[in-house]
Amino acid sequence: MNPQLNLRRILFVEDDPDIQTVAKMALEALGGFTVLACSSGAEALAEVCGFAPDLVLLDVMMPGMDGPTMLTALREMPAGRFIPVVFMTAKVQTQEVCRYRALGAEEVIAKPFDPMSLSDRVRAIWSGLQSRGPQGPALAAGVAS
Amino acid sequence: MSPPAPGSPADGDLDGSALDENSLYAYFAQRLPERLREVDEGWRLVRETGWSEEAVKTLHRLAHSLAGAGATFGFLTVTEAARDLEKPLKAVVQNAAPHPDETVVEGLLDALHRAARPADGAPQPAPDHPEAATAAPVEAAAGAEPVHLVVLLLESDPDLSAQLARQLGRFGYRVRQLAGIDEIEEEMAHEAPRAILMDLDAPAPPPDRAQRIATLRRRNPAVKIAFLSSRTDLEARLEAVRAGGEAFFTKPVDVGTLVERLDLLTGHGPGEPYRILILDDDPDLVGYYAEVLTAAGMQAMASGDPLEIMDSIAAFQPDLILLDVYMPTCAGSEIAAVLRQREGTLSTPVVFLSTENGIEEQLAALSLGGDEFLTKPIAPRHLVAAVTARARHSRLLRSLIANDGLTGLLNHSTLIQRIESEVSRASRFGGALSCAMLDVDHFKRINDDYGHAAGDRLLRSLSLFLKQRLRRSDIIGRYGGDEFAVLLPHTDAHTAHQVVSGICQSFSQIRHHVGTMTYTATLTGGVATYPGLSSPEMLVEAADHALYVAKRAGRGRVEVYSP
Repeated sequence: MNPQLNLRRILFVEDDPDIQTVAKMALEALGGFTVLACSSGAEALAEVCGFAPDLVLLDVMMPGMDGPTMLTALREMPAGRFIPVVFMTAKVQTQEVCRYRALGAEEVIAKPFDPMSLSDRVRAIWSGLQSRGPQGPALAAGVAS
Repeated sequence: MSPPAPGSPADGDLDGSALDENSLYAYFAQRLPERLREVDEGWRLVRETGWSEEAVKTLHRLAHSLAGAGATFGFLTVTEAARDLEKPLKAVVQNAAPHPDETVVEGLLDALHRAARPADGAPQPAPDHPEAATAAPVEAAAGAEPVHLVVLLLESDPDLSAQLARQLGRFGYRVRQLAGIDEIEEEMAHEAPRAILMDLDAPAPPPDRAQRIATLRRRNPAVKIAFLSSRTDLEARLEAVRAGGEAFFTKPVDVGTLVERLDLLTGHGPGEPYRILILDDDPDLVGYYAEVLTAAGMQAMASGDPLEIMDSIAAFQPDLILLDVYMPTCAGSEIAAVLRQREGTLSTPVVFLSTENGIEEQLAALSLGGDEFLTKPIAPRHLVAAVTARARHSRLLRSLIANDGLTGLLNHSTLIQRIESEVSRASRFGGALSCAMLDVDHFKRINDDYGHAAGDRLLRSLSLFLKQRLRRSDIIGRYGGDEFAVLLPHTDAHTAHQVVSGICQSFSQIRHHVGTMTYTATLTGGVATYPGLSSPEMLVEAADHALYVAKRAGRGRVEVYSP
């Protein structure tokens, strides 16, 4: 990961079509990002090379390949090894968040999220990643606020 | 761009340049019918495949997604109902429980459909004609949960019939207006209503009316029958009793009294769900019990640490505590003994759960303050039955002490306690908590013009109306005089304002009867929200201040507190 990059391209992986629509819309219209929305982990993995996202927003619970499984598969791809991944889940107890971090997720966004402030939240996470420096993410403990 | 998922909406439905809460709401409102259809289809597959694993998984996922999407778009009642549906399915998916009875699922589906209909629970402009929403046809369901309250109405005066249907509709009943007893028989062949309201003075009733009503009653003993009449003599009342009537209303009918009696007769007054605190060191078991109880319509809070139980009790105010006998840090019986020494929990029932089979050990645990002993593993049905019976008793005892005599709502001191515990709950678990103060406009004048009995009836009618229109988890109390307080957990100021405005608007359309006179009454409201206001006192004061501002601004409106 090169944290000096500006955040431009987001790969958004979420099986719910309505959440997908509204999040893409909000991230594009309010955040100015370029967003590619995918409905499944398999679909998203197939897009990683071509789309080259700066960040992946990943739903934890999806049919077929779930978020953690997709993250593992992503880390095994040369193009996906250093792309920061943020999980989106309703389970944000400390224990769960620690588990997701241990799996390699940078942050956890609680669901349901507010579409209107999603872009700000994503930007805040991104600048957090930058401030951690180029050696990669620290395994910070505690619940994502 | 990837191909859209099945059922995926066109992007054009949302305009990115004008994205705001209203457009989000409108977008999802338009998507909801399709989402519900998917869930219905999922349920059809579950039934047709005899609960195949695949079909249950799909339905569980659909319910789960709908809950998440509902919350994202601010459809909180949809989320709540979808979660209720998700829970028993999750237990099946995880092999933690046998599949629930189909009527239970149908009941939950029905509740989901109702939650998705335009109502006060969703953040939306208040509907101009709330009765239009309640008139929508809904399939039959015989769930254990309170589903819909169908009332058949046989009234020969079409104006009165339409008026009653509209007014009962505002109290959550769905009224079918029928023209004759033949139609009642026909209607009951495919769906049993909660109650039948019949005009005793119908011109030229069929000569065998009493007999036919008796037959209907025999076939459907649960259906309650009430008569309306403009006569008040004993003869009319006798006639009604002989025809199988269980209630008798004289015209003009006061809708508040009518609803109160209907609620009593049908046993369907909306109540808050029972709150059950579960303490067990096995997280899987705790989760399982919580799911079983939640699926039965209760609120469950799970705790794995006995030393935290006092905090949990203060925040959650349980009606009943389920206690594991063996836990690492201290024994369940010790906890029970401690609970019995504290005034606040002196009367809270404690039910032990244990694999303990020996009668001596059970008796020992009970002697320390437990009320019942359940042996693990316990069947869900048994758990629900044991917990419900105890919780109901505990709730009844508490309500006798805590409720206002006139309205049956929480009284002032209990209300204050609940505000304190809700604020503490919100600060512990996060989330917004809105408090609304409602006041009847010109109540003194109503008392002066129509008498104090009419004023009392109006307050009762308002309290019923609030109970019907708010969620079961909302807390309603009589703050004093004609001032009511409503606590809306997990509700932000914007939503609270819309909910309360909707209620005020609908209530102002109800005609109240006093003898042959009728009048309408308006409400003024003030809303304040935690966080932002950090103490219970500040929250109440702020809501009261907003109410004052709304009164000054001309009454019949709702204001949100701004410092």
